[in-house]
Amino acid sequence: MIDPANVPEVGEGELLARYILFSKHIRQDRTLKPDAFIPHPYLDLSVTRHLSASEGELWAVGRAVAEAQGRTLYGRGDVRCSVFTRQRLAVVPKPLDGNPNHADVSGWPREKPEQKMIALEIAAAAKFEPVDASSSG
Amino acid sequence: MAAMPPLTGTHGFSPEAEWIARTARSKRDRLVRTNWLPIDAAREELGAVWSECQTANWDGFGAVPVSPDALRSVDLFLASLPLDMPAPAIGAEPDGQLTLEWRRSARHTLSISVSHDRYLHYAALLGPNRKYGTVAFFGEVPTDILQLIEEVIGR
Repeated sequence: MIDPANVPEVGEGELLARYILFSKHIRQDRTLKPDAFIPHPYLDLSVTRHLSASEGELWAVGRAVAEAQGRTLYGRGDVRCSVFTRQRLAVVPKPLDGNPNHADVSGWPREKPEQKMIALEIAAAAKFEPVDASSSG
Repeated sequence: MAAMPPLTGTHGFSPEAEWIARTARSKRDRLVRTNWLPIDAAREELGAVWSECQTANWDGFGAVPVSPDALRSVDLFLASLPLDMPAPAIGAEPDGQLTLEWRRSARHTLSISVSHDRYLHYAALLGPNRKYGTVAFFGEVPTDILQLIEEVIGR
């Protein structure tokens, strides 16, 4: 994981993970619906950076998020930072206790149709990774 | 699972319009009783989504519950679709709105959010082009929305 004492800015080529805790955000063809990328209750979308993280560490963060919320982790949507910035969004490092790789996608418009349009573009570029059962526990 | 609230809709503004809507609904219901329509699958999915989204934080990121009014609006929307229209996939967004999605490919996708106060917020990818906006829903699917659905599914 990233050294919490030395958190770099998010690079355009970085991969970012959005954890999926609601099964109906996943289509039958194992792609993600835009619904998973609508920011709420704040105009920020919570993501975790792949930078310096192993697969096991990424899944451990996802499981911790799900456990803290009393939800099931179904997988994650991986999206490159440039997909967000092309939509005029910014990805800002926001390290948390236990997750120095945490970041916020900010700069969302307030209007719902504009949010949906952006979420559609993100979903179209996202790659769904189902939860890795072998790394659980 | 809590029971779905009664689903009622509004139609036209005159007695004649109400009669036409009631007659159309009656004929449609007769069809539904004797045939399994694509919309029936969407209604089943609607019930499943509703059952999972009635409590706060259903998405683990602070989502608000889907309201019975949003459920009624979606049911009315589904009932108002032409019978030969493919059924949408049903979903939910963290602000408590239900979604209807038609999709041919990643770049031919239409998503409509139905709000509790009967507004339709839509966004569509149409190849290289994009369309988005908001229209009010008065119990009949707006023509613009029907055209968008047909464009997305390639009809």
